[in-house]
Amino acid sequence: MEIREAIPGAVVGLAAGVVAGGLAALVGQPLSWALVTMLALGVPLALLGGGLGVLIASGRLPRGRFAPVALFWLAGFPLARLVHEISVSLVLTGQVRLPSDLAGFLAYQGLVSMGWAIGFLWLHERIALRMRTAGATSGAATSR
Amino acid sequence: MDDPNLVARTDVSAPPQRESQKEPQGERVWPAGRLEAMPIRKLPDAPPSIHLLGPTVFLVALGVGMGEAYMWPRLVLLFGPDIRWLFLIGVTLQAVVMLEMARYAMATGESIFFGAARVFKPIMWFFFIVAMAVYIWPGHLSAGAAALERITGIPWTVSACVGLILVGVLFSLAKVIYNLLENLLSILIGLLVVSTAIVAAMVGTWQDLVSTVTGMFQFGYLPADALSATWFPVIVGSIAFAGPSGMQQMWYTLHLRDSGAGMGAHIPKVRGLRHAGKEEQMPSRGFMFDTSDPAEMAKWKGWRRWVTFDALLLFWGITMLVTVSFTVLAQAANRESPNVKALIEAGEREAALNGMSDAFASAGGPVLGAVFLGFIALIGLNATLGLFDSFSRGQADMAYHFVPGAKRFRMSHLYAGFLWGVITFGIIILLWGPADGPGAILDVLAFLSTFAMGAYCVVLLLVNNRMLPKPIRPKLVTNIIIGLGAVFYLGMLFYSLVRFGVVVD
Repeated sequence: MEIREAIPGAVVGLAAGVVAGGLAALVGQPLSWALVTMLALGVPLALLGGGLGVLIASGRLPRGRFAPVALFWLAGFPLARLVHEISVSLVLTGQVRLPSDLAGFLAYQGLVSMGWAIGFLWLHERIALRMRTAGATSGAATSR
Repeated sequence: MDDPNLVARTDVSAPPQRESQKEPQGERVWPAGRLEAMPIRKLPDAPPSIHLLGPTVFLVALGVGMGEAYMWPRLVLLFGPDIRWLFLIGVTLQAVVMLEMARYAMATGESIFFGAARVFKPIMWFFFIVAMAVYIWPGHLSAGAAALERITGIPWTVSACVGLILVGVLFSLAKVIYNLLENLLSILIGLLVVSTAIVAAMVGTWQDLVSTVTGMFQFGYLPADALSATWFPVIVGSIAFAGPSGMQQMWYTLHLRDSGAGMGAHIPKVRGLRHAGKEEQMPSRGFMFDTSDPAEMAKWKGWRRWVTFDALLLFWGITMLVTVSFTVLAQAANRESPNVKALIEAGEREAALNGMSDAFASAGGPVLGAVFLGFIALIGLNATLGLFDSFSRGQADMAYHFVPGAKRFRMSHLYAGFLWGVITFGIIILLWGPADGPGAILDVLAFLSTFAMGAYCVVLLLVNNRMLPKPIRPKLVTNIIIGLGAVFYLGMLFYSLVRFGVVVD
């Protein structure tokens, strides 16, 4: 199984973290706050996104289908957001704090995950397509 | 992950027979209207129905705009989430319109403008004139560029003028304009969707989402204020701006064709000015497939499944996602900072957008205010890229086929002519004129834009029921929905005009 399969998903996950952290820095938030936001959200999403790519490449999830990706993120996205919330509270306040209405929080994140899944898959396809095209081009050049 | 569409694209990029090849004597044709009959050709195999990359990105880029980011969140703050049932009807209707636009374009490889000309040429000229009147004004740039000014400090006229020139250069250098734009817009829309989901996840609550979603099913809800002279025209305008507005759905037929969907595979692609010399001869009309052949009809069903997935998940789903997210954001801001409602109610668009940004900033920190403005700038960029390409594509298509002597030029030359024409005019107006158009004709432009939507519903009924072979004509239910669409748009427009003396706002 190639680790390359994990790259597009990991890139999209990290990009989401960079968007959140980068905007925080842009509007003058402390760098530490921006960095925590970027890592606490970007790393879980990148790990899950990369894992999804590997699962599909290994045949454990069907290729080219939206439903398995949506179901994966239905569980994964709320988990990543929970990690994000806990990490931010831990770094900024030194205490582990769960969201006040945990069930409501997870249910809401689960619903938002549908939108995330569409955007994730959309960007993932683009990056994967570029990687395949680049791979095919370099492969053809090598075989000459 | 596989890109199933890639395989299909490779297939359709090499169609079995092109116009330049000699047509056999006595070949079968499909006569449609008074214009040249369409020769029968093979329909390419359809791609798998589940896909992500395709021409819908243009419709999403054009359709997800001010209606979703500003007009509907504004109405929700003013009248409550229950007003959103009108949005649900507007976007669902647009999804059906999209499927019907695709029916003609995929069956013939012709644009809906050509189809309108087959019914009655003046109808097509009406759309040609409406496009010239409505879409040459660069006002659509102002909201996005003003948002960029708030973030970066760069004066909005500077970024708008530089943006216009960059768009022109980019499109002129492109080998195939469609491919370049699809790549670019896919990334931009993907970023918009991912970022919207992230921000909504960080600031919204379960209650916001529930009230927003359940509000979509409160059919018939209309508070007394909504029927006033102040707000009814705003509601009509918001419904018209739910999803693609004006002529955007009609331009989608040109993007479908250039993507190689259905019989569009037999039509050459529009190239950038620099590569115009490589463009193949554009046929003088589209093609039809053999609808009496069961194998061809099976392929047609595959293409209908393909575009239905586009309409339901990509178009309907993303439009809903963005507008639900923005409504959730607006509700969160209103909860934290109640003065947002007064700001939004009183302000004109730019003032209200800044007010919403400030409210978001006070609700979720300066990050949220900047995120909101960033989204507005991104939406503005998407719309501008899509609009300039679409306008030039549509006008070039109509001019090439129906202006006497225009066939001396290549389609790419005409495209470049309209593109640089609208860019030059846009820069002149941005620097010295009224960006939205002269004040005296603003009402006329708003009227024409909404009228065009009712008019294209009528055109769809005529074109799809009279110009296509019976086996691929729309079903009765579809015709009823499109007919109701015409009544919906035209009825509200004229009711607003007669009852309140105002067009749309």
